[in-house]
Amino acid sequence: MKGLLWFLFLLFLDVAIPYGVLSDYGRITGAFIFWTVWGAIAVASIFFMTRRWGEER
Amino acid sequence: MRFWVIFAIFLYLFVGTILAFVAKRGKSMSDLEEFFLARRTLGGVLSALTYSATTYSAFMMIGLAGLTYTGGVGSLGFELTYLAGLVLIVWFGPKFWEFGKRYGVISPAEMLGRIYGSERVAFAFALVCIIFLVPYSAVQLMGIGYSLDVMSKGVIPFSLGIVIAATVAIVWSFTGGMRSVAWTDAFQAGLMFISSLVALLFIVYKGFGGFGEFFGILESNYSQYLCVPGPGFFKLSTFLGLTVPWFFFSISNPQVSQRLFVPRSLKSLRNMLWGFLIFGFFYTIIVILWGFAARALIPSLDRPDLATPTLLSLPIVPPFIAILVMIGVVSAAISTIDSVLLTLSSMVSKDLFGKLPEDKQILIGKLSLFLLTGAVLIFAYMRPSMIVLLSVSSSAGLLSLVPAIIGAFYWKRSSERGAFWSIVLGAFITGVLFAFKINPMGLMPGIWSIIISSGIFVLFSLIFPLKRRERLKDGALREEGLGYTRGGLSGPDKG
Repeated sequence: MKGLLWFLFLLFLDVAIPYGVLSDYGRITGAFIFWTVWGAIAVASIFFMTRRWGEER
Repeated sequence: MRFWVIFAIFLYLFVGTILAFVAKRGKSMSDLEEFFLARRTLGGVLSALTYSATTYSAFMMIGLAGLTYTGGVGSLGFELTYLAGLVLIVWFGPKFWEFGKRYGVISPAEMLGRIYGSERVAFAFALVCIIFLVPYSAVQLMGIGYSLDVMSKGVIPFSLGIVIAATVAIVWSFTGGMRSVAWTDAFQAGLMFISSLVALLFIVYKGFGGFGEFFGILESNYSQYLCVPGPGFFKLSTFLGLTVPWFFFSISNPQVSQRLFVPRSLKSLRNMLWGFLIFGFFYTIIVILWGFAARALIPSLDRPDLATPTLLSLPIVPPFIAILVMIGVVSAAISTIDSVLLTLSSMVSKDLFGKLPEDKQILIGKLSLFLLTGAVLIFAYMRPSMIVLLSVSSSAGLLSLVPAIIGAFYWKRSSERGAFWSIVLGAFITGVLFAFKINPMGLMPGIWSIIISSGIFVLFSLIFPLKRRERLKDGALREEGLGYTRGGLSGPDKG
């Protein structure tokens, strides 16, 4: 459940930040860097959530 | 140049064909599990590479680069949101994998049929996949035809190009089924990644003088492309309309969800997921930057899908880079087509003709591989307008499968009728919305697909509960499935 809530929060940021605070910020440090870091965090979260797969059996 | 184009294509085909035969060596292709799933014995790295090559098609270097060219940074958000959608595998991966192993199911359609205790659910699932994925494959084939025609300067014309590609797809998948497809996919994933990376580095350093200068030009001349909605394409409704269908891609598209049955262990399944995420993250960024480079170097194109071919034809790009990228694009397309065809043929043999003995099913599977390839080839050659429509709508159309998949594992009251009608009506209504270009309330058909099919699924499950006898039969199966997969394995918090 924690994982689901965390991803819902990430998906909220996914839309809210680029379409909100960064919508007029035409720099590479704006939406480009935001989504790159956001993607890395999402990937790292999936790594974390699946880190014990195969060890429990 | 022509000689080297043809030489490169033959070298690529030669290496791939050798791999297809080596992968098959010593294995008898006489049972379904071996032919379609490599007997569920693939390791994590190989699984990750076949998953990557299957997922990423010619859409990346042609379509996504073009989307970046037109719409700017929104395409990065769109593609990385898709990648984040792989979180669904956290909740569904182990369930698919264990159910497949325990009950010996071959296709995702068969799995759903077993869980709902209904052949017609499996049948409808398989049919919807065929209706949407055959045109999708045909468009991939057309991409190869155009690329080879342009790059070889007419030596390999469109019609010859698509025949070569279809022949390769069928030889590689027919030779050793999933084993051959997996090994050739691994080879092609390498080609896709390396070719796009080398080309990007070359363009950035040769065309701009380095990443600092590249970003500087983007900021000073194309700053509107660095934010959303930016130049206007990525309105919020468009962004959502594109990302929602793709977010569910990992469970809605059978050619990738079938790969959840293939790893040899849960650890291999995890490594497949990790490997794909790493591949996808970097590949996405490479392709987006490539699209930005096209925007800065060739700003006045009429058709965005010409961004990559036009960029490659610039004098600053040496021929070997252009040839490498062309092979990368062809690899991306063929690795998707042969995987889709293999998955669809497994559905034909198992879900449309599942009552036949296994040796007959194998025969039907192999025969359908030829027939489906023939259909894809004919569609690509004739290019009816309906193809493009069905191809574009494929990700939204396949969304109609999602509620039934989620309900199968996570909603005890879900019923067979809910599953069947949500698939049938959901896909049909999505097709109609696309065909007549209707966007009710300004929302794209992808959004409506998930809303409508979810609504039908819940409504029909509640209004038409199963009859007592059916409930026993169905409930027993579903309980077993749920009870087993709930066994402390796959909860998101437990990892």
